[in-house]
This record gives sequence, C-alpha cells and structure tokens, in this order.
Amino acid sequence: MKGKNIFFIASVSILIPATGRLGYGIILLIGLISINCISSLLYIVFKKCDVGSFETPLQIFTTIALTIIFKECVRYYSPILSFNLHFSFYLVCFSSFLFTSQIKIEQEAYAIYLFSVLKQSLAFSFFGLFFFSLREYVAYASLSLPITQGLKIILIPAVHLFNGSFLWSSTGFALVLMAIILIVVSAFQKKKAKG
Amino acid sequence: MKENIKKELTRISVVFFSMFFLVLIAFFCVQAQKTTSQKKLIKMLEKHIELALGEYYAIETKIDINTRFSESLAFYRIKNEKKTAIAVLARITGFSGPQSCLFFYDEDFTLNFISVLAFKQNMEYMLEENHLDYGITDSILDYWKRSIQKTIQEGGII
Repeated sequence: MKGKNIFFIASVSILIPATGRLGYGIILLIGLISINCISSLLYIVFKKCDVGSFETPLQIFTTIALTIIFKECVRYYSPILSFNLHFSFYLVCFSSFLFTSQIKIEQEAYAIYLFSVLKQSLAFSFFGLFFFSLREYVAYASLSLPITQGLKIILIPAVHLFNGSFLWSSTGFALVLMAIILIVVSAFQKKKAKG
Repeated sequence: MKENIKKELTRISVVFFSMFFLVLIAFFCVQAQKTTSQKKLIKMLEKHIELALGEYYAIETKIDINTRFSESLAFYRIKNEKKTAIAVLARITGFSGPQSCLFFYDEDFTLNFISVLAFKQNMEYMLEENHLDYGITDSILDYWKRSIQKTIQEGGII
C-alpha cells in the first residue's frame, strides 16, 4: 500500500503540473530515470563509507545537485525547453527522492536495491509516457518530440469527440484523467484478487 | 576513544567532500553552458521574430533586470536598420501548465503579443490567435502585459 501511495504522489507531482506535451514528458522522465540511477549509486557509496545519520541529508543534497546538473544539460541541448520546464525539474527532484528513499538496502544487497530502483523508475516512466501521450492526443491531436529548437509536432488524425481545446489540455483534466486511470487500475486489481 | 573520534572525523570529511564535489560539478555545468545556450536561444528567437514580423531583427543584448518577475521574463534589445525595439520572452502559466510566449515592445511604447512558442511546424497556425488552446486566456494575457510594461518602466529599460 505504501508503495502504491508513493507511486501516486510521484505521479501527481510530475505528471499533473507539467505541460501536456509528450516532448516535455520525455525529458522529465529521462531526468527521473537518470537521477534515480545516479543517486542510488551514490547512496550505495555513502552506505559503504558509513556516514550514519548524515545519510538522508546527503541523499537529499545529492538529488538536488543532480537535478541542477540535469537541468543544465537540458539547457545546453535546448534552451527554450529548459526555459519552459523550469520549475518542473524540481518536481522531478522531489519524485526521485521519494523513489530512492522508500527502498532500503537490506543486508548489503546492493544489486537488488539498484535493480528495484531501476525497475520502479522504468515502470513509472512507461506509465508517464502513456499518460503524456494520451493527454497530448486528446488535447492537440498530435504527439511531440523534444528537439533543439523546441518541440517537433507530429500531427495524427483527430477523433471528432476530442476537438483541441484548452479544457482537455488543462491541469484539471490531467487530474481527472489520473483519477480515472487509478479507478480502472484498482477495480481491475480487486477483480483479479477476488477471482 | 581515539578510534571513535577518528571514525567520526572520517565520516564528517566524507560528507563535506562529497557535498563540495557535487556543488563544484553543478557550478561548473552552469558556467560551462551559459554562453552556448544563450547563443542558441538568441539564434532561435531571431529566426522566430523574422518569421512572425516579416522583417529581420538582430538581438543586440540581453537586458538583466532584478524584479520579482526576473525568473519568468527575459528581455532582449533588438535592432534592425530602421528601428530599435525590445523582445520579451515570458514563461506564462495558464490552465495547461507553463508556456513560453513572445512579446514585442516597439518605439511607440506599445506591447504586442506575438505568439506562444509552441513550435507547431505550421507557422500560420502559430501566429493565429490560438493562445486559448494553450490554456492562456485573455485575462491572463492582459495581466502579463501589464506586468511586463510595469517591469520595463520600473527597470528603466526605456
């Protein structure tokens, strides 16, 4: 249950406030995976150095520093994407800390720890990609990819029900969409558990 | 006792050096890409302004102003053979999350909204009055126009 809650909080913090474009989502999710991997590697190093009570503050500090480095890498690749995303990078930082801190290293099983962080990040990223794609398709009838000049828009045939409107692309709709997905998933899981 | 102190000192030095090292890398990253990213952004804006206004403007300098909007606004002094103006890049948060928008402040002291920098490949579409599609309503746009004008006057740009 705890794991599910964290998954939900991480989702809400990254997926809801960000602009509903797949291109932005791809960058944020790449950031999440890379920050998670590097910070968990550094966490293992700190564990080996036996830093004791400094562990959590160091982990937070590491995540923030890695976020700044990632933000600068994105700014180098595409300054306009970085300008647009700005605050969302720090939401990635928050989510990344949630992911890495909820899993504890048990009896020096470092490989298992790394594997579970990577597994969770990848699972979340696939869900995130699906969510961003759905949001963009419904709102703009397109999919986008991050390029140096900003976003490359790939137009796809629109369904008349989903006429491009700011209501579909709004943060409120993203929250409703997230709620619908969670209801469907939990209903499916309940049915599976019963049967 | 000595052993304990030694252990504690090692622990503190590991923490201190790892923090210092991370700050150093982050600082280096910020400094290393500053000029390159600014050049890239200027080149892109010049191209966009030319497509939108139908005439070429060269970006002379980035104007640094310290106001409460500094994080969301970037001012550029632009110039061509005929006139000088100011291009304003603003990150506006509407109903659909943050979007970057371009404004043009000319010699007549009027601020004009050019477009949302959504990078739709079709330039005509981008220049239409389509900011509502991006969650930016007219009232949000008016608020930002007033804020930009206030910042320009208070910052002593003109």
